[in-house]
Amino acid sequence: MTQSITAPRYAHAEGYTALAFGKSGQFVCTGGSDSLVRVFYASKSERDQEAITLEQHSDNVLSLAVSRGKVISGDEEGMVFGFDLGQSSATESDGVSVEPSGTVLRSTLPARDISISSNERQVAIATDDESIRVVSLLDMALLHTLVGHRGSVNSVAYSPDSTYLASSGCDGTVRIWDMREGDPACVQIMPKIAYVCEPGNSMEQYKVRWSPDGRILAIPCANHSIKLIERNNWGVSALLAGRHTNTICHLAWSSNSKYLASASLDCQVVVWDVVARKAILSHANVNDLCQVEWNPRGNMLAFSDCTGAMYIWDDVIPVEQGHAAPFERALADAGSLSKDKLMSDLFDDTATANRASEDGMDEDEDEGDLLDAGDATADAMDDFVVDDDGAGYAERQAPRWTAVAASEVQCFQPGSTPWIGSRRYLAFTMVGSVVSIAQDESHNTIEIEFYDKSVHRDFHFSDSFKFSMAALSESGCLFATTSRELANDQSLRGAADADEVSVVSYKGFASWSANSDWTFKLPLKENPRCIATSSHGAAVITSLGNLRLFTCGGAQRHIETLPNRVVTCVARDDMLLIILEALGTIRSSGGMKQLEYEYVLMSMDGQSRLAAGSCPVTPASEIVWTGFSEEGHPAACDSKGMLRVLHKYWAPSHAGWVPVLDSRKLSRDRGKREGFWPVAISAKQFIVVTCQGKSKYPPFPKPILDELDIDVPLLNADTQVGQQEAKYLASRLFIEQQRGEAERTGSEYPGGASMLARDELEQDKLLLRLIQLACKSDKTQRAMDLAMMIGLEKSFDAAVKIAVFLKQSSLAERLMRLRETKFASELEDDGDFSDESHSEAVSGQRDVLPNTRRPAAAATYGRERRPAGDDDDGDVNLSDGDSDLGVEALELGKSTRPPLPEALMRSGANTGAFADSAGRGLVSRPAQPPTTSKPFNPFGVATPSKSMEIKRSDSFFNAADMHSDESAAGPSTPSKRQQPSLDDDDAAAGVPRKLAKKATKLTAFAFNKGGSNANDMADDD
Amino acid sequence: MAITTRQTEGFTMPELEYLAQNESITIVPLHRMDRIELVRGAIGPFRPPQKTVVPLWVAIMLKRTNRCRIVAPKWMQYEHLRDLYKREEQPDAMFTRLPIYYLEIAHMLLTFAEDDLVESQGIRRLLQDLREVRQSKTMEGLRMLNSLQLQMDNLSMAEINEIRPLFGHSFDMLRQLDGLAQATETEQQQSQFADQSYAEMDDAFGSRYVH
Repeated sequence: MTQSITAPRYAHAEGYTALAFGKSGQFVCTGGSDSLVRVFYASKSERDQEAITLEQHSDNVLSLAVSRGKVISGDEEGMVFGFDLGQSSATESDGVSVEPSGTVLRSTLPARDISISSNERQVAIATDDESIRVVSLLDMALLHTLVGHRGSVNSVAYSPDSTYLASSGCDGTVRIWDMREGDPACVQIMPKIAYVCEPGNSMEQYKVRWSPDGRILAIPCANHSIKLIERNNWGVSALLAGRHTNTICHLAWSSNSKYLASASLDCQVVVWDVVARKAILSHANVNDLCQVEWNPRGNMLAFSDCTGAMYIWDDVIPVEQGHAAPFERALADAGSLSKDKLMSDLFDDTATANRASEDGMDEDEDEGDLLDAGDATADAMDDFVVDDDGAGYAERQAPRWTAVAASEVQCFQPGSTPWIGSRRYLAFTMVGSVVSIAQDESHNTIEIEFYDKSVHRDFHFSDSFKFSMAALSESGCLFATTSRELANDQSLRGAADADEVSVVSYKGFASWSANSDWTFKLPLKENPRCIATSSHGAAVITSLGNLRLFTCGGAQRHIETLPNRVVTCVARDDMLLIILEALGTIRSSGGMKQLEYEYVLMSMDGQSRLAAGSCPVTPASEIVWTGFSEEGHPAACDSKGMLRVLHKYWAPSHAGWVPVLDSRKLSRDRGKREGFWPVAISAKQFIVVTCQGKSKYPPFPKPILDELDIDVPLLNADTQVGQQEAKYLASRLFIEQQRGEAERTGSEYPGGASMLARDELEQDKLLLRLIQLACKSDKTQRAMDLAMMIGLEKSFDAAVKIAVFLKQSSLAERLMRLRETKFASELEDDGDFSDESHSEAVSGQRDVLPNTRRPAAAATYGRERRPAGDDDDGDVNLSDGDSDLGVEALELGKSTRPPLPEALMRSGANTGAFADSAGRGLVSRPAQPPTTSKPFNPFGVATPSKSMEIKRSDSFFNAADMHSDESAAGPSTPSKRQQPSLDDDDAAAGVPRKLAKKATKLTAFAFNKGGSNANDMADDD
Repeated sequence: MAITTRQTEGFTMPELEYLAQNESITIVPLHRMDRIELVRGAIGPFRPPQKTVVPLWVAIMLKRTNRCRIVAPKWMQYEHLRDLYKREEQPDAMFTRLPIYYLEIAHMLLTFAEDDLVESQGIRRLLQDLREVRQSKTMEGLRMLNSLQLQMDNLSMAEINEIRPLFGHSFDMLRQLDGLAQATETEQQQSQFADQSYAEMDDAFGSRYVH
């Protein structure tokens, strides 16, 4: 059998190299004589990634221990350091973060071996002096010093249930300590059972190891054999011998206790089948070996040698030859699903059978495992599996979900932090910040600082209520106290006593009113849960579920009872956004939550609800921030860094949450470990405080805000097209929101019509860029779709030009037709009105027409005179805008110059409908738009052109222009076809009539360029 | 091209600072202000607390009246400077890349906006170290001066200014000397040639005389 052992990875400088796998099997830590600790990814796919290097030590690293949340390493000068395995490994499927957490122990002699108890509370450290140190991991206090060994202690090992601690000394004595009692006692001494080694020689220091099921202790002993000691009677149950020819220095148990790997100074790694008591595999290395470890979740062995190299041996146990897998099936399920497909071939019946026959597993655990395996299979990559890395065995055992009780709902104020030292932010918005500074038992100091110093001056006051909540707006600041019962631990320090009544207080910033501050005392047992304020008033939601609304002056305006599940609320102008935990929220016994949320968007006076519904979050995350964008979009950010805005909140039942930025992805892309603490959002940017390293909250003094560009998470975000599309979508969201907001409040578009026009133009520019990209890659259908989205006619002309320029003549042709349908309804309406006016004037057919149309018709009279002037504009635009349009276009343009009747005659002729219209009388002809596409000719009778046939055969086009077909349907019955145009009166109101003429010009131009049938139109000129 | 006395004799530090004031810098305004069109471009609008990029002179003017906070440029952050210093310190390292007016900008920021810098004392120290290392390197580099060229990449304005008078004069001198040396060389060659020909002639004549 070939052994798949990786090439040596030179992890460290030459010398003794320690090694330990993470409990998840995801990574392997090494420590070596270059005084570094490094963390390598273990799985095949990630193996070549760069290792995380930790530079805490200043001497040779001799020992390493890894538990679920800790890495502890000891070096030759006796320093033992701890590292925290980052939170991120629990929430993110990729990456391990290791942060130094401080010194665990400072010993005078080398730290030879380290063992962490299974509950992660204690760590035992063997040093070259004759004692074993037991240190509490909670506060790094030295708990016990175990004295008894004569000579250096070279290894320590907690039994898996942390009941016993086994230790071995250089004199060959193994001692067993009972760790259950407060004062550990030596319960067993096995003198001279192991071999005697020379103290101080790192290479010779052997280790004793417990089997993971806790029944057997393996000890390397004198004649190059391994003794297996039963825990029941401390008797030797078996001897594994016959393979090694030199001192055995390290042992490792597979996680299901079936296999034992041993490394020896004869340069061999031997794998023993413990049940069969024989060696099944061996590997000869070139150099002396140091340590060997099993991957707890895989058929993988790692070993290190004295050159500082690390090797990984994949697929160690030949499972296909009938050997059992070296790890638990359930664990493997989890492991292989979330990592690579390392073990997928190992789940054979043998493994299951072996596992079933195994004892030491009670019924409950089995159930838990099965449940777990089921879960893991069901939602394969779900974070649940990954959570295991950092979370712990207990949670994995039994995720028993229960519905959440209302009182457990944790509420928060957006922009508040826990106490950082003696300070905490109560509110942090774009207006400014409110900081509470702890002074003494009786009072705190509140500091309000504004960003815009020209509007308000910073101030501070002494706060005897110990406010724990604040909400800041441009016009005032609202404070409230929380009762101790409701406060989550972070705000305890600022809380009032439980029997004290809660207080709500408002400080107005308005200077004209002498006394704009007000304070209310809430009834006993009614405490504020969250508060919000805006220029339109203040809102307090209390523990009884009451939403109390006040005006800025302190008048009580409204009270309403909400479900008692409110998480947070925030206000802007006349809108109040309330986030509630939905009834679907469930909570596991282990404290894990699967949160679901609802939102209610209501007016600040409580008179109306704008929108309500569910508020989605990324699975397994919770809402950490809510707010309004500068423009008024309600927004929420979840703990996975996904920012969403509530779009179309102004339109009843159209509201929906649109993700606009994945900030977690952004920080990943930047390759930095930084957190973003949300502050505010604007149309283009997400404004945050960037938190470096481990801190999750903004520091003091107030940091400078960072701006992250809004980046809608569309597909293909790495391509130019994807980026443009995201930009376009962001811009569209913005314009739609601005319009919707203007419509809702009945005000004007912010900045007026000119601003709207500019914004729309910007938006169309993005579309044009996309059209250009689509044309360049010959995606004409896509270009067509994009053209459909164009809003302004001017931009549409540009699109046609782009198509022509990029030699997409068929696209240009279709765009022309689309252009007419898109803007035709308006044109036709124009035509109709003048139609009417003429009918009225000439033949007095007023009785045929509904009275309602008259104002509109009257409005068109004024416009009658305009075409000539408008045409001038059009011509200038045309020639200025694109000089390559050529002479034809200009000439065509001129054709519209002659006095009105003649021009109209000509334009009528252009349509090819002249003969027909002549037959029906001149009355209706003059104002008829000079469209070239037949279906929109109100009189419909014309020689069918080639382009028309194309159009008919094109199903997309027909579908896209339902409206035009509708109008085309009744050309012969004018009175009927006036009906649809009636509906379009509003749309037609502001549209200049030059559209039609320009269309003609452009069509002619496009067709000439394209070399197709432009003759019939061009000839007319 | 006309060369001013300034360019040959060097600028004074205030003059350089004046030049550096046109560099852009990010600020966080503390007051709201609309866009202002200036000859060299527009500044604003200021919408606190959004960051804006303005010329340094505007930033300093605002800072002096406490109307803005200056955001330290990336190269002026402590960590970045520390890395730069480490790199600069390596033996045989080239000059690290820094803005051309780095000393002037740093000096102005440290004078007027020290409270906006994190670890300003550390920054000051590092800049001092950096400057000394670079100075000694420049001096080292000057030894390589020959009559044709002298290349030192990423040298900043102030540093160039420092060596300018010395460099200019020595370069001139070297060139003169070089010209002189070349002239002598050709002369020598010519005289050698002359000697040789005389010798040949002598030989020729000599031989004729002999025969």
